[in-house]
Amino acid sequence: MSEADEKEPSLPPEEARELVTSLLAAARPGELDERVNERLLEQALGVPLDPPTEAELVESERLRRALETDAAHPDADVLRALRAAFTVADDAAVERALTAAERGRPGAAATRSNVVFAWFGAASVVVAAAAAIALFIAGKSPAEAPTARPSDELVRARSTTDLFAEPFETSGTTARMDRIADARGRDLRANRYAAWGVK
Amino acid sequence: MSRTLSLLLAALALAGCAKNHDRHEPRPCEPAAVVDSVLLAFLSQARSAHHVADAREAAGDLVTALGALRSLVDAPKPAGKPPEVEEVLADTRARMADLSSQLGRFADADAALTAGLENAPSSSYFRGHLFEVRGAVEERREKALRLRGDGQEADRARERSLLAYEEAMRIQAEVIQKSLLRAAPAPAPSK
Repeated sequence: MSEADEKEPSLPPEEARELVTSLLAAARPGELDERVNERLLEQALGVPLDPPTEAELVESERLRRALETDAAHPDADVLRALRAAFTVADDAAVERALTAAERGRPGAAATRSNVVFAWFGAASVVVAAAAAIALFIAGKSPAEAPTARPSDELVRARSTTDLFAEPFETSGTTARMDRIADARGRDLRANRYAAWGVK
Repeated sequence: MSRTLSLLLAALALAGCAKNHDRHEPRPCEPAAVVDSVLLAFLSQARSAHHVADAREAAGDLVTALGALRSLVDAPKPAGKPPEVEEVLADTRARMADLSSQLGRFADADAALTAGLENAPSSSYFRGHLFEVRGAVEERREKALRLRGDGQEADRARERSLLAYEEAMRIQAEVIQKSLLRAAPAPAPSK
């Protein structure tokens, strides 16, 4: 480890644990319950999305060009790291690193920010890429992390009564389900873009 | 500040957050959950279940239609009881009660209505609709009882039907009134 590495602030233990848990889940995915899988498929395939807005088209094009030309873009770094992780596979090295991380190493875990580097050690391109991803995520402020997090910008779950202007008919139940799912589908997409910083 | 006083103040603060809130709305001191993919997965499942029920009902297969809706109410729900989930369940149970009563399964219809009213405890179109369906269920029960020759019980069912419809009308009038008040422009400030 370099002297510069030693001076970097430590990753809080809770964040370190969460990070390792996420990496373990990625490296050793478990079985997905069939019902959950079906719901995920329904959600992916069955929820209609509105056509992209002008801003979304512009941002998508920027990201595409950045990936093609190796230009700078905040989201391109993550995608490049993910791509690099699968360029060279060294499953044995990954497994050793993850097992060590899972057990924890006395002394090494307590001191460092990039505790991920200490645990994963040196060597394979896959391990380095995984650590790069971890640092990228750990280094970002919570508002920039590419996951939806509760914040004032995100649309919250709430009553659907505002969607309906008159008393219900039993024959209209399915139409109400459609309307609720469509409305919340738009909210979900807005939340995703808000979490990614796209307006 | 002493430790005891700190703990007492903390307990009072938590009690203040916990009481006097609609149990189907987020507690005042807790932020509501965001709309996420888990919620959408459930709403998509709900949509699919009702479309399947439509197809089965159109084919005259009310039992299978009921089964599709039962699978929805029995499925795992998103954590935290989001209002959307509660309202979808209320609406689904109203439909289940309607189908059950058409099949002569009045006990199942009653159970679905009771559970649905728990999903919609506040005045809303969802709650009003449940009472309306109760009115329809009691009408069907009355008819079945008269066919069996049980006039006395049939009269009671008719009475319950009327009460249910009246409650439905009361709730819906209340909801309409609230929406009109929300939509009314704010009064101009006095000079």
